[in-house]
Amino acid sequence: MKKQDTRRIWICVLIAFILMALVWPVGLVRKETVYESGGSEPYAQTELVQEAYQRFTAKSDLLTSVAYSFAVDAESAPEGQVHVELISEDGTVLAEQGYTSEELQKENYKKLATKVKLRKGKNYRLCFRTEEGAKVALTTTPHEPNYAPGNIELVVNGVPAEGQLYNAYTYQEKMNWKNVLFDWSFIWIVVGLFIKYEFPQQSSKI
Amino acid sequence: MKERVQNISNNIFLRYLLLCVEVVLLTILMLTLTRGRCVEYDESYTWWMVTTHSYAGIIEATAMDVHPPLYYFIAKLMMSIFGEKLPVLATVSVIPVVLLMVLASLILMKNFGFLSAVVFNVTVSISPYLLNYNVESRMYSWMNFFVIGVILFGYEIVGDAKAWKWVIFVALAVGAVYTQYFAVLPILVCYVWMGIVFLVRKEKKDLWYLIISAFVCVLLYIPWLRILSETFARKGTEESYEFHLSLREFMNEVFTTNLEYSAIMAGVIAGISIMLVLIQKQYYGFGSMLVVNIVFCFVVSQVIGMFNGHFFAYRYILYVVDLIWLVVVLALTKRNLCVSVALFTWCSLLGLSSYRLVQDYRYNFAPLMSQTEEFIAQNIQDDDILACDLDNWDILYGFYVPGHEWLDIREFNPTDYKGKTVWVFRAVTPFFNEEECAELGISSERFYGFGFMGAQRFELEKVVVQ
Repeated sequence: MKKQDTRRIWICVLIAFILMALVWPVGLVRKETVYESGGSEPYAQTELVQEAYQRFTAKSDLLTSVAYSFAVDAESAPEGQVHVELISEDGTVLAEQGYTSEELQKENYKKLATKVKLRKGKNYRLCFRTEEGAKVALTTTPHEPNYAPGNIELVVNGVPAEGQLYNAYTYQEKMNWKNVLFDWSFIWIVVGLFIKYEFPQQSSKI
Repeated sequence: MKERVQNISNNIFLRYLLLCVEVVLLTILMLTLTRGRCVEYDESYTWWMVTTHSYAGIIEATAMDVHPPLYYFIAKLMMSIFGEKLPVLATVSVIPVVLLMVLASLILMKNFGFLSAVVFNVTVSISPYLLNYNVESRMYSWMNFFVIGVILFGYEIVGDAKAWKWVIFVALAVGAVYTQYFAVLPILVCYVWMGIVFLVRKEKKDLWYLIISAFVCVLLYIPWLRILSETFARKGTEESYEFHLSLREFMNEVFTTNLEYSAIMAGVIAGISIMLVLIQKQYYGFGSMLVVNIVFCFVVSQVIGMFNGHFFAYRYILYVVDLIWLVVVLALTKRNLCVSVALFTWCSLLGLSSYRLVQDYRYNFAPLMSQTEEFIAQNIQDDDILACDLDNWDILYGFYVPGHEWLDIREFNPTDYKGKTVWVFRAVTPFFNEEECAELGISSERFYGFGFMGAQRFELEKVVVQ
């Protein structure tokens, strides 16, 4: 084998290992998983919110969005606004978003785009605060089988509410071993094409 | 390492032994999906066709359908030998996959190497999309066997024409067109390719054999040609198929599994393979013929589908998936050990993921079905009349609740059923309300939460005609 070919093989191998490391353990390639409230039972709604929070446990280490639904009176004149914050247990604000009542009357299902790093297994709070007289309630799922995985406790105006928030958490999770192996073999297929080496098989008759 | 691989590569006995082990393992995997599972609508149609029709009746019934009769003949024959049981019917679909693996093991290993056969066997048996049809009680796995068989034998004949190869080639081609109408497309392309090769090589004798073989095929198909033209002219019951060349949709439907990005990766691998095969121009242009075949079948079948709404579905050209895998195998397994081993691992993982998906699809509905079957066994009497609210669904319901008279509830006339009990399977229409009950002179009782696979969910209404 020529020296040039040997060098080329080693470069390919190095590239393959770098790409493999990016898949795992670095975790650059991830899979999107949504944990959401399920079931077909009717939803419920809380009393009008002044301050409320949903405590939840992080199911993975990268949260890309949280979706939730408000209950807004479409007939009354819109006033005030709602402030939503994602807060860690030590009080650090990780993401925040504000909505006017007018916006919520048009579209009551909202998404807080976060893309924040969380610590898997640790608890966080999704806080809702109304300002300037906004008349807004939160949509909830009343019974346990339908809770979004991770939800622990919903507190509305200082009192624990029945059920949990009707919501959805979207995480970017690290790949499981099957996906990692699948990605690694794909990397070797592509990188292997650049390795100039004829595997000694029975030669074709052509 | 190189020497050891060389030894394995040169040891014919060892190679065949390993291939045998592989074929047996893959067959066992497929057979595990044929026992104690749910039946969907199309499979209940097969069951109805095979169990309630004679051979002559099958010809008559398939003449009105969109598939020719050969598969039903084979299924009926097998069931008359091994018994009218669902696992027997499902196993009928596994047989051609085993035959295809054996054929591929022999022809691919001889011409393209041991690893080509190893990888191809994994892909044709358990890869996504194909596995579902390999264990489904329908004709698609037989169609694949015949079509790929024709193409592999076509290659064999081009390399070394022998009389027995011509006979098998013609038999497979006739088998293909009597199993699925769209099977004619890849065979046509294969014939054209063989003709070009013989012309270029100026092999007049083989060219004559090719023409004679084509003539024999047409001759053997003449009995069915009139029915084919009638089928094609008949307007389907569904809306016309809208022609669209969505490669993305096709790849997603065919290669999506629960492994992330599997469809994208399959697209990349297929794309690279097609490119390599076209560049390399090896094997008398066999690879290029496969690529042309894929494009031709993908486009032409959809154009044909435009003229008749019930005449196209992706599964009708399932062999395209096999052809894609054949191109991948040809392009990648002879490059180097690294690519071959990685490809085998990748295909195996894809196959195991697809196995899990098919298993979920076929068995997850079982609890609801058991509950439904238990309720029916306890409540529906032998002389009760059954009704449904969707066209032709008595075939599916009839599979699970056999031996009853079925009627369409939309044409229900209570005066014909005085004193009788009618159980209505409600999939789409609402229950009789109080006013209707009073008007029709019936009493109605409602039961909720039932399902058969294929029918998914339905409610039951017990109607007693006074």
